[in-house]
This record gives sequence, structure tokens and C-alpha cells, in this order.
Amino acid sequence: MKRIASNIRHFFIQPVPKETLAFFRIAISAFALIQLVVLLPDWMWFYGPAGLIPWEVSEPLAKTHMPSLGNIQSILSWLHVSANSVVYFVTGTYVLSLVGLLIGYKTRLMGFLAWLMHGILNATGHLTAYGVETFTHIALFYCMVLPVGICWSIDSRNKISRIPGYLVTLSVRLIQLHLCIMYLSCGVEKAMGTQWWNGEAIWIALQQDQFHTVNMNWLANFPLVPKLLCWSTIIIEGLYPMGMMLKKTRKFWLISILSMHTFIAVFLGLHLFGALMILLNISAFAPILVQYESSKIRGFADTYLFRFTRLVKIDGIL
Amino acid sequence: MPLKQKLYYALAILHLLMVALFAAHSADWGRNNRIIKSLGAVGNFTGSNNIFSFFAPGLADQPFVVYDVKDTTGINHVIDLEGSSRDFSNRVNNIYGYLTIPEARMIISASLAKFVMNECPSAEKVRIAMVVQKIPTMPEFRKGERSKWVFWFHRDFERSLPLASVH
Repeated sequence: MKRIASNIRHFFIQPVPKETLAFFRIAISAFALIQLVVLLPDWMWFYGPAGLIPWEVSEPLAKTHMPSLGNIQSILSWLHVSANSVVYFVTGTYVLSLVGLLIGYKTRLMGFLAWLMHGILNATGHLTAYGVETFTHIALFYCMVLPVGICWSIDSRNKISRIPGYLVTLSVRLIQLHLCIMYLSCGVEKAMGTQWWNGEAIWIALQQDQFHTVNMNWLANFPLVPKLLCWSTIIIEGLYPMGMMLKKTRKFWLISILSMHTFIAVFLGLHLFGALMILLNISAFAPILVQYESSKIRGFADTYLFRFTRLVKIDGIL
Repeated sequence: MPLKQKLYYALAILHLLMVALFAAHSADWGRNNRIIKSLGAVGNFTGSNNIFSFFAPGLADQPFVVYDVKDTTGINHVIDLEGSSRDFSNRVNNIYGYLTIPEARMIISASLAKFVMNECPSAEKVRIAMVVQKIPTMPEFRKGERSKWVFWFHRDFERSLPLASVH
């Protein structure tokens, strides 16, 4: 029991590279900017007052407590601002805040603005939003509350960092544990469906017109392939917390989860979703993995260099 | 441990607890429960009130909408909503998913019809027809069955009147 408690304490106190948080900030803001550029040609169809779903329909159906674009228009009614202008204003603020977040200029404020603008846009366009918006919202919330401007930012150049080490560790652990809960939940929910045990889930997903990108009809003749893919998905997701927390399995698990999301991006056409999940996993776990691997390499090099110099000394060369 | 540090740890634990509770469908435990409602409201802001059931427990039939537009000259055109990116179709398909909910069917159909009328100024009538893709299982596919689109429902809309007929 004492050992468990000590391990938990060690987990939350052990220093982690502060670059992890900086990488997270840059990855998320860069992703959100790219997403915006990709969606921009159809932006008004998603968020405009006369879009696919008009504001008067989408906003009352929203379950969120975030203010919507319609609310902003009501607030600015005394300025006689048109509905389209409200969309341009919120979008413009979103772009500027993401650029600010990317370069780490007034990071906390920019994180707050990016999170708020994203929330406003999706309170109106929630009927068109899917998993990618859920994770962008979560990531932007972390960019707002965590010290993500600690390094690789303009803010960190101008002043000496007073952020204690424990806060960096806690912040990184928070993101990691959120991912762990999410994947565990995904794994358990998939394991409850028969389609994930007989391989039909992968088969159906690849056959659906929405996701159909590559002809995978041959899979029907090799049912073991989709079955193995389904089982491995359940294992990778369901055992993600264990796989990522154990030092020995972390590298394998990270490669597995990245492969899974690459598969989703390529074969199901969910490019943005796949890219975001890859970035979240890399930013949460890769710097720690690199630190661990480099310390292993250093240890290995030190040992062998020591043996080599001793041998050389014995031979009397040095 | 200083008080400030303790507070940060407490907030982090509370946040993760909420993430875990909502991921475990705690929102369904008591829909009218005040505490769960309040936690859900907080979770809207923090992103801790999500259910992570992507493609789980299984995949349902995929809905799609066919737009049959009749213009002022009486000619019918079948159109498809096409955007500039792959993500556009993912998002539009998300809307179509709501058409499977009977209560949402009318309002979503009307919204889509209004959008099509705005995009096609010559349109006089629009028929919103929902079809569903039925995919055979792997053994059925091996026996020669192929995926097919099955008609589900349609709604007709006219430019002058929001709703002409309901079938």
C-alpha cells in the first residue's frame, strides 16, 4: 500500500519536460488554424445566419451554456451590427487569438479568447460539429488554464518564468489522464458491441458511403483481417492507460495508437479528426518518451564508454 | 505542501473525476437531477461532460438526403450539397444523422429546404428525400448481396409556403 502511494506521489511530482506544454500549445493552435483554413470556403454554410441550419433553429437546440453568435448579435444590437458581421468579427477574433496562442504572445488571454470564440461558433454550429470539435474545445480549455506559454513563446522571452515545477508536472499529467479516461471509455463502449467482436464494425465503416475512400471489398473474403483490426482497437483503446503509463510499453502503445489514427484518417477520410488525435497523443506523451529514451541511450553510452576507456587504460594506450 | 499547491491538485482531481463520471454516462443516471445538471453545465465550459462513444457500441445505417428541386420552368433537378473539403461531407452527414430522430425530422428538413431554396433562386419546390444505406454483413456480401439505398421518408416544400405536404 505504501508503495502504491509512493508511486502515485512520484507520478505527480516527478519533473517532466516543460517543452511538453509548449509543444501542446503550438500543436493545438496550429491545428485549429489549419482546420479554419480548410473550412473557410464553406464557413458561412456552417455558421452563417442563413447557413445549412439557420440560427433560429440551431441555437434553441443547443445544449451548451456557451453564448452563441445570435447572443452576440443581441448584445451588439445597439450598434446595428448585421448577423454576417458578427460571424466575421468572431471568426477574426478566433484567428487572431490562435495566432497569438501559436507565438505565445499574452498566452493566457489568447488561450481564453480562442476557447471562447470556438465555443461561440460551436454553440451555433453544433449540429454540424463532430468529435473533432469536442477535442478542440477540450484542448483549447487546457491552453487557457494551463501554463502552456512557459517556453517557446514571446511571453517566456520577456520575463523569467515563475511557474513551479510541480505545476508543469500536474498540467502534463492532467492532459495525459484525460486521454487515458477517454480511450478507456472508448475501449469499454466498443467492447460492449457485437460488431466489434465479429469484425463487422470495421467492415461497415469502410463500406459506408460517407467514409468510403478505398475499395476494401476484398475484406469480406478474409474476415479474420477486420476481426483482428477490431480486436486490436479494443485492446489498444481499452488498455491505453496501462500501456501509456508503463515505461516499457509506452513506445509500443504510442506507435499503435498513432497507427490507428492514421488508419482512420486515410481509410475513413476523417483527416482533421485523425490529425488532431495524433497531435494530442504526440504532445502528451512523446516528449516524456524522448526524455526516457535519451536517458536510456545516455546510460548505455556512459556504460560502454566507461568500459572502453578502462580497456584502453589497461592496454596502456592512454 | 503549500495551500496553493493543494488547491491545484484538488481542482485537477475534481476535473478528472467529472471527465470519468460523464464518460461513464452519468448524465443518464438522473436527467432531472440538479447536481448532475449543474455539473453538466460546468462541463460545457471545461470539456469534461463528454461521452466518448465513437463508432460504439456499433455502427448504424448511414442516412443521406437527396434534394429534388423543381424550378420555375417545371424541370426537376436532383442536386447534392457539395463543399470544398472532405470535412464538409462529414459535417453535412452529421446533420443528416439528426433526421433519424422523428421529433427533429420536420424542423431539420425545413431548414435544409430553406437552404436549398436560397442557394437555387430558380427553385419553386424542393423535395427532401431521406434514404438509408443498408450494408450487407461479410457473409451476406460473399453470397452476392451488395449495399443498397432504402427510401425512408420525404417532405415537400414550396417557396411561397413553408410546407406544402407531408407524407
